[in-house]
Amino acid sequence: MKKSAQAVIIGGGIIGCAAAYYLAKEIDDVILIEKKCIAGESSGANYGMVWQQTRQDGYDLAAARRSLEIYPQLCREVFDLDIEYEEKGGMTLFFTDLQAEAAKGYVEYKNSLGVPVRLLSGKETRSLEPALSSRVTGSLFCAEEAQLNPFYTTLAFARAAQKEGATIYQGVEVLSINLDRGAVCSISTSEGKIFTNHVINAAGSWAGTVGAMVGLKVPVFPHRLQSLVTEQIPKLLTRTIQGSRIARTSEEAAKTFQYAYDTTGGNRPCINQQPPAECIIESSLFYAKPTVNGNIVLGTACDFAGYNRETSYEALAVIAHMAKMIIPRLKDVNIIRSWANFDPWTADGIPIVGETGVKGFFIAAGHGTGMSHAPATGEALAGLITGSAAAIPLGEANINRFTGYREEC
Amino acid sequence: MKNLITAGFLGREELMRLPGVPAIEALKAKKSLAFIECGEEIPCDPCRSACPRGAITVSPDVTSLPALNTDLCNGCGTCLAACPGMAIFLVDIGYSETEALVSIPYEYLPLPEVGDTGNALDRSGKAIGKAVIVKVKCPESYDRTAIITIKVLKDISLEARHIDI
Amino acid sequence: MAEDLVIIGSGPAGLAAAVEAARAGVKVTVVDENASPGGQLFKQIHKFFGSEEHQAGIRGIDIGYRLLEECHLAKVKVMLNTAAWGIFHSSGNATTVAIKNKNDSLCSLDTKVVLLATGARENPLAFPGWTLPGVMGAGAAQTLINLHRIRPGNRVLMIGSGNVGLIVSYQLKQAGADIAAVIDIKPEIGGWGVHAAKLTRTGIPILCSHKIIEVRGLDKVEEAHVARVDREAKSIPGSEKLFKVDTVCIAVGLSPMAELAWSGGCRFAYLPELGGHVPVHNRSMETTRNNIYIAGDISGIEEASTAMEEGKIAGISIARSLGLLKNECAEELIRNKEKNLSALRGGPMGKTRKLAKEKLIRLFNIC
Ligand SMILES: Cc1cc2nc3c(=O)[nH]c(=O)nc-3n(C[C@H](O)[C@H](O)[C@H](O)COP(=O)(O)OP(=O)(O)OC[C@H]3O[C@@H](n4cnc5c(N)ncnc54)[C@H](O)[C@@H]3O)c2cc1C
Ligand SMILES: Cc1cc2nc3c(=O)[nH]c(=O)nc-3n(C[C@H](O)[C@H](O)[C@H](O)COP(=O)(O)OP(=O)(O)OC[C@H]3O[C@@H](n4cnc5c(N)ncnc54)[C@H](O)[C@@H]3O)c2cc1C
Repeated sequence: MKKSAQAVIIGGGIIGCAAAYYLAKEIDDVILIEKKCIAGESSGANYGMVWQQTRQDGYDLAAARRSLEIYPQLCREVFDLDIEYEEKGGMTLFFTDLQAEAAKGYVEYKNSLGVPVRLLSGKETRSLEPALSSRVTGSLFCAEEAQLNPFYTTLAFARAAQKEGATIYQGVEVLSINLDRGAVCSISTSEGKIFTNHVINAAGSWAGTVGAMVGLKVPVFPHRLQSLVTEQIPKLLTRTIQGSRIARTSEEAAKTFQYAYDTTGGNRPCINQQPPAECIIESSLFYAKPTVNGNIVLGTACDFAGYNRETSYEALAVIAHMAKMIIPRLKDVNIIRSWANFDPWTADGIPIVGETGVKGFFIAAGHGTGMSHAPATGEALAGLITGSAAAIPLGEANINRFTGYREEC
Repeated sequence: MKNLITAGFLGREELMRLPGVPAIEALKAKKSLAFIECGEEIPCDPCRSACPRGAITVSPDVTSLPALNTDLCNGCGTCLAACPGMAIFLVDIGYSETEALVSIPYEYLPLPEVGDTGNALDRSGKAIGKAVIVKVKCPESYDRTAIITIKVLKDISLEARHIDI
Repeated sequence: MAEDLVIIGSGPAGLAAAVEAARAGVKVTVVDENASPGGQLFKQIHKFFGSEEHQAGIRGIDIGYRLLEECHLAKVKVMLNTAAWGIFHSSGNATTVAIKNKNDSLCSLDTKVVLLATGARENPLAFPGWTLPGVMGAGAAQTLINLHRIRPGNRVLMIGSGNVGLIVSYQLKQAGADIAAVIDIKPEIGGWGVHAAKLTRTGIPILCSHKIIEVRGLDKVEEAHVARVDREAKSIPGSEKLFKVDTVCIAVGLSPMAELAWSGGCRFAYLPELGGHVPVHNRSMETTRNNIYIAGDISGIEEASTAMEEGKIAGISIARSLGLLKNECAEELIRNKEKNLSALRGGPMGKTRKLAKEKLIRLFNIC
């Protein structure tokens, strides 16, 4: 193993791999360290949606829009494997007239932010996706959204990074980070020590553990999401769909399009904020992603269960019931697999990207939708470290948006 | 048991070494004797408990090869239907001057009838001579394994083990 | 309301366990995906081997009827047309068994203990033409003739000379089919000599060191091409044989059906002698996950007779773990069943299995 590097990235998920690629373009001696394998965690377990309609105004939306801009170019010029990137648009379904009403205001607001989302009637929705149940009363459709194969995309970034000179170690765990007068000077891994002045914490749901290695509290928690995969079937869906929660009161309807589990009530979140304790499986959103191979990936049911990656009957049953209700023909389709993995969670639904109070220690973690953010985040982070001009401002994504952050470090 | 495991039937040499196969002298001395063609040490002993005269022993283990005590065996044939491997026959070598009787466990329907004739087949399935059915027995206690008795020429009685009708 | 014991699979292992446990006072529910109980037993129309304790000399199908009668007397509940598709650990000590019932709806059973007695599946074998109608598993052919009374074809080539290949060939012949040959790629017959001898004396050739090259036919099997092989299992030029057949049966081994044990989080070991990946278990048939037990072919491919003994051990152990049997009493019963098992795994033919089973149990204690 190499003994030194200009920068070490911890974590071989989509964020770490994208960061490695953009950094390696700018500087020599970039090392990425992954304790399992590339895309072995969240980045290999997700639905691969690259969406903007669900993103919050600010860094969250800017990063998603920037990524939608960059991906086609990466596919054309950089990636040496087909990441199954398809710009088929994204669709959010709803099920009551109250929700259709609430959607109008939401569309106006999103349009004002530059998100080209449109309101479709039930009939228009079914003309695009005939397999959908008649219970669908309408949808929000955004043509400028895409889907991709998450494994291939993460791998493509990793290979692009290697081509740019980065070194990737898999099966190696970072155990501690050593400081010299408050600045990063080296890291210790299961395979030895590496001297470096820049460390990027891209450890996804484990960002808290890595943060603690330099005495920082990084409030990212594992949000367990469960999924099912169907057998391969003839084409049933064209694009990835999201189903909202059924809302029967106008109060519920108004909340239909609030995506992040924002537990902060609009205030700055506190550094000690914990994930909600109540079980939220019942209120999970529905996802159906048709893959290139003809399987349909179905999700999701979420809860907080630490790092327990077992599936639960309750969750899988909820997904199956939603699937049957929304796409009735799935009733006769076999499920071949199920899994649980962790979506990195923060209290306000926004990732943590940027520098910290510890010199040389950067964070790029807590992405609830890392597939939609990775190219932009990688690019921005590389810019920050090398001092080049930023394509998008990191803004509120910095860790110091959390109240109590100063006192902690 | 080279022949048994490569071709699926016992060779003459292999056969004569088995403790359940009576010696020619014994066959000649008795009216009818069991002929136990069980050549592998598998865990199985219903023949032992089936014999009303204690002529068959399987010891020291259930996997030991069955041994026949030709003094005690009177050729009653109970063990033929009891053997799950259908590996026991009855040979009456002195039936007549020129003919012998061979009794065979048989589980194909319809059952042949007395008087039916066909080719006698040896262990490899080769036709080796004429055979006539002289007896067909299938009492309830045999549990659907019939015992058919064929009449063949004496010199093929140690080989004839099936009849092709 | 939580059940005491849910048994998945109503084959010999599942039913034998159900009877033992229910007799000790355990509330037992057995689920099986089929329309009738018995697993493989009702296909076994031949007389079983073993000793008196193992019901030797009795036909498998009749052992099945006996077991069902005992289940009935012991008030075991059997849910048919019910497939279990998942094992989950619910809160507390309970286990949730996810099932799909007759009406295709999802539901679940909460239970203190689960016994997986799901049996095995046939291994496939791919060769040119293997997807033609008329190529099938030997077990499938056996189901057709012995359960549904349908003869799958008139002239059959059997691939594989293990006990399954030999017995199914015999039963196909009983059902009126011609067996063109039994072939095996190995130089020696895999199954027992007595099963082989039953075939050869009727004129069915058993060809060792032979392999299937191709099956041909327009829209169904019409002919099978076979060749002799050398020591490296490569076909010897000039040794090809052609069999005009309408059915080709594949009997190249079974693999434990252990998906539910994976889903339940049990630790596995790879033991080819037992059919591949098998859940590790202890003397009581308990896996590395508390309250998940296994018995029968899922714990290593053996026989119905061993499956029943293992089932009984599991049933007794479960009754003990639920406090319904005193330890000394359970121990004595288990020792007795272990003696039966040891007899069944005796002799040179049982030795490999015996050693592998012992290894599986040893692995339980090694983390
Ligand atoms: C079911 C599901 C569906 C999703 N759908 C979408 C979607 O459609 N669109 C979208 O944009 N996002 C989606 N997401 C979110 C997306 O998967 C994540 O945002 C993204 O994968 C996060 O990437 P990451 O690189 O931060 O984390 P990860 O992929 O989890 O990578 C972190 C890596 O760090 C490694 N690591 C941790 N600690 C150490 C250490 N000490 N030393 C070395 N390595 C370490 C881990 O092994 C891991 O591989 C979904 C998530 C889930 C679970
Ligand atoms: C052709 C052949 C001949 C044989 N001959 C003999 C013989 O002569 N003597 C002998 O001792 N043994 C013989 N055996 C072996 C014997 O049949 C098996 O070893 C024995 O049946 C295994 O018993 P079991 O209870 O483990 O499994 P099985 O008998 O296979 O029963 C398992 C049951 O579980 C059900 N099941 C599986 N998964 C699920 C699920 N998820 N949900 C609900 N139900 C499920 C299955 O449908 C099945 O009914 C033979 C086997 C074959 C194939």
